[in-house]
Amino acid sequence: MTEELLRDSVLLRILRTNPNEGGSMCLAVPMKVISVKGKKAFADLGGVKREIDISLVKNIKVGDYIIVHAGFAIQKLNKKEALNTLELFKQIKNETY
Amino acid sequence: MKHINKFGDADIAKALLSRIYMEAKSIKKAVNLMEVCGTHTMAISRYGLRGLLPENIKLISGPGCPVCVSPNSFIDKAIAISKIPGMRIATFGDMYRVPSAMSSLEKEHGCGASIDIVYSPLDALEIARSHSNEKVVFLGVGFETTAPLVANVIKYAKMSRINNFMVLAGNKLIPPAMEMLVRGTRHSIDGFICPGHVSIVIGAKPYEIFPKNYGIPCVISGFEPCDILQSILLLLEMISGKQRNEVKIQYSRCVAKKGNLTARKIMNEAFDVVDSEWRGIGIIPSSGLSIKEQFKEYDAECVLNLDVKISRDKKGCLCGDVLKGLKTPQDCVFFAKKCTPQHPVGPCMVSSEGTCAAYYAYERR
Repeated sequence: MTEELLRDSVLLRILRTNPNEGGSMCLAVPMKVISVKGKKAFADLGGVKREIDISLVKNIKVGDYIIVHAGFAIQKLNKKEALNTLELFKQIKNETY
Repeated sequence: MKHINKFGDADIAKALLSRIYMEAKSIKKAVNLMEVCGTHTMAISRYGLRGLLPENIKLISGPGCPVCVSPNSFIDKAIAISKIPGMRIATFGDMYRVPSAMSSLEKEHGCGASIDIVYSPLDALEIARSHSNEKVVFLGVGFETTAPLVANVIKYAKMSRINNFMVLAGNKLIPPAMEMLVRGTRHSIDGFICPGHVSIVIGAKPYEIFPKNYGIPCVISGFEPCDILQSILLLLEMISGKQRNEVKIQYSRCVAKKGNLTARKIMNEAFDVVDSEWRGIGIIPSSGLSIKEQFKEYDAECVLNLDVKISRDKKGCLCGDVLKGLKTPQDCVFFAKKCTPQHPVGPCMVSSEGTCAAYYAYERR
């Protein structure tokens, strides 16, 4: 489910069309954690794997989605909240049509 | 069409828009909503959201692009450093092409200065490690999203005793700049679309002054089209009086109310809050970060004793007023004529988060 949410997101598209990846300064993207070793993790974004510093976020586990900005995880994606927002969208859609 | 991104779903967007139209009709008067994040500015332009909204709902861009709000003096200092023999500049890509009155890092690079574009401040530290005969200065630009990273890297440098690494501190804080814009009665801002990734770090509390002291509602928004539309709807519901004025978090999948405490702690360990100069706005009290005394050997400004002459903005360039939301790029005589992404006159056209760059790419009429 979460992977569906992330596919083709605006942030990803901005990142893809940005000639220099480091350009946009507050741009952060969700990546999936593949492995964790101490303060470092390997994470995947559409097949691109990168080492990420995870010292700013506690309790990161394999399978988590992390929000990555300039080589650092700055937050974990809250799956429950993501689904809540989508549920709300669905309600709005159903009430309108 | 199995994997449709629900946050960009056209039917949801239409439903949100029809609600927005209903709400806008009940408000009757003109409403100005300001987004204070360059990534929001880009997303709004890219998806043409401005054109979809009711006539009385206007989206205006604020000082949300870190490169754009960095004053000429910062760029001049970076250029001065790049001219010192044995110095190497490491910078995020956006800063590279920003012109000051005399030059730019790009031009200096062409004249032989050592300049590296990096994705992360960690990369800058790595360059210092592998170039022990040179001194590496990282340009610390960015808001609260970036500041904890820079702070962390300064701490890493100290821990691993890397003595040829420094930071030119230019990090800034967003809420003081927002407050500067709404002080007094002359502003026309009815609601703030608050930056998503800055808020990951600072949480919701720093915005509470806006509903409380200024009667301005705030929504911390995500970046997908439906996120932004829902944030606009939430703001309109507060402006119409249907909901109480407060700080709402629409981007709850990423932003916790209390923010990221670990990131803020590290930020406070390395930086002091100081008054800071913003392009187009001037000095804003307690809006910038300088490196703490205990890390002063990593503070480029402290170590290098830079003597930089004050340079002025290009005459006629409206970047300053665009950053305050007083003018749009189309009001500028240079826009899309003398000033283009290939030949930028001001920083708002250079940065991928700049308002002029967003209008140039998606909203040229």
